[in-house]
Amino acid sequence: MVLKFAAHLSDLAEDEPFPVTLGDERIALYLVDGDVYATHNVCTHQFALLSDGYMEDGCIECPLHQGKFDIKTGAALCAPATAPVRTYSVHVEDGAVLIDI
Amino acid sequence: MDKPFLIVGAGQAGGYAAQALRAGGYRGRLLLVGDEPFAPYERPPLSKSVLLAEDSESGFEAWLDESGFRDGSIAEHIVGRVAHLDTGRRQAWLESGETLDYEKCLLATGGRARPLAAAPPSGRIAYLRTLNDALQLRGLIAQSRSAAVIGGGFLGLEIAASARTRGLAVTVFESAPRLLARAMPTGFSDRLLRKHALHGVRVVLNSGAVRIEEQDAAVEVSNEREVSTFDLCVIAVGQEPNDGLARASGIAVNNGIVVDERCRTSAPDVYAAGDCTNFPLGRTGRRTRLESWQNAKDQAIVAAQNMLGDPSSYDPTPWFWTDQYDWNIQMLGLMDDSIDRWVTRQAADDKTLIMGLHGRAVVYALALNQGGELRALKRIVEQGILIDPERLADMSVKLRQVDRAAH
Repeated sequence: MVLKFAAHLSDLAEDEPFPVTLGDERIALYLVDGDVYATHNVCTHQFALLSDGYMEDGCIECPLHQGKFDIKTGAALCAPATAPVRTYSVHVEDGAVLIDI
Repeated sequence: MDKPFLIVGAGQAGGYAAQALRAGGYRGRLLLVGDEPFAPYERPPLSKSVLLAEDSESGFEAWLDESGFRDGSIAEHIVGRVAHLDTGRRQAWLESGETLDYEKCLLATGGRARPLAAAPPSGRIAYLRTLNDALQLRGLIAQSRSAAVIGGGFLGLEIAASARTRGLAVTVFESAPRLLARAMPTGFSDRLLRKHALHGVRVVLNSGAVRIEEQDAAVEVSNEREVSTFDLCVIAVGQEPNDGLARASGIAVNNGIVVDERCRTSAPDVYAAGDCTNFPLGRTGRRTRLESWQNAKDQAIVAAQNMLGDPSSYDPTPWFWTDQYDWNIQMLGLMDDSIDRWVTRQAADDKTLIMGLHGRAVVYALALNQGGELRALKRIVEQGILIDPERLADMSVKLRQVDRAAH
């Protein structure tokens, strides 16, 4: 397990995805009911940053074509997205959001 | 044995209806008849990623539930064409001579590219509607250095952007005085025109009628003002609904197959969905045809629910997108005469949200690279929530909270 610092917890707000880049990896962070989650930030349908999309009820919708993913599991919930988006395990320590990549 | 359900048309609407029938618990036989040699797929990539891909078969991933349709677990796929429905006997006659009995039937026959009478048959003149059309056009693009696109609608402009991105010199001929006049406000039409010009596409507005002739190894396109030659000519002057089968079967047709809000046609147990239908939209019930990904999916799902005895209504807020170069443009609602005020939120050079209001109601919005913002507006447009226009214009107010905070 390699934990990397991704953001300060105070950077995150409910229903506002937060983009970070770790090395070459584009990641989106989410705050859902006080818990932090992370997914790959690129839609599996076509190139677009999920962090530019619309977050609601624990789901993120792609800004391009409204493909929808479950933030916690990465599952594709709504066409045109069909492939799941990668998720990462997240640790929060002393106000720092750490991601296992 | 019970008679099967029959879906005529194996495009996106037919495919989604089949999936929705299964999801809704239908366990009987399901026949899906289509005239393309493919399982159901979505068409948006045909004018974009398919044309941009350089290999012959790669670049197409828009199959609908590929495994479920390939192995027949969703529907029995029959490649063929239905010539006639006997709606009294509940029988479909295929052109092959075969007859199929049905319990309930869904017409999801889609549309076809509107032919241009002025265009002679030629290997250098192309239309785009099907995957085979797109693969053929891609081959032509690979061999061409220049292209004329007749028609500056969504499809024509997407084809122009794709061909230009592949290095062709492209000229678009549009008969109207501005681009996409029915779909977007004047200022944005002008901006889109400049975007194409910036990428090196020449757009001829007010083109008038064009003459198209094949000349040696080229196509000559001319109007009253100019004569130009191209390696390739693509015709994209709109779509016509495939309502001929319905008409021939005595089903009411009027610029598309006439259906009610529950997707029922004039014939018993015959439903219709997707590009082929003419349906009542919104509170006014204005008769409308929509040619969109959303309509092909959502109306098909409502039709399937009604076929299963669940009386649901189709009442969409029209949503449409187009991708041209690095621009994703989305439109929500329909632009109409009721708009008396425009509000723009400019987040960055290429990130704009334009909203059309009737009083304090947002009835239409256009988003340039702002799909997330448009999505935040959806609830407001759908529910007719009234908003103070000053607040809507205030970039310090987040759209998703625009109707929530105190005034």
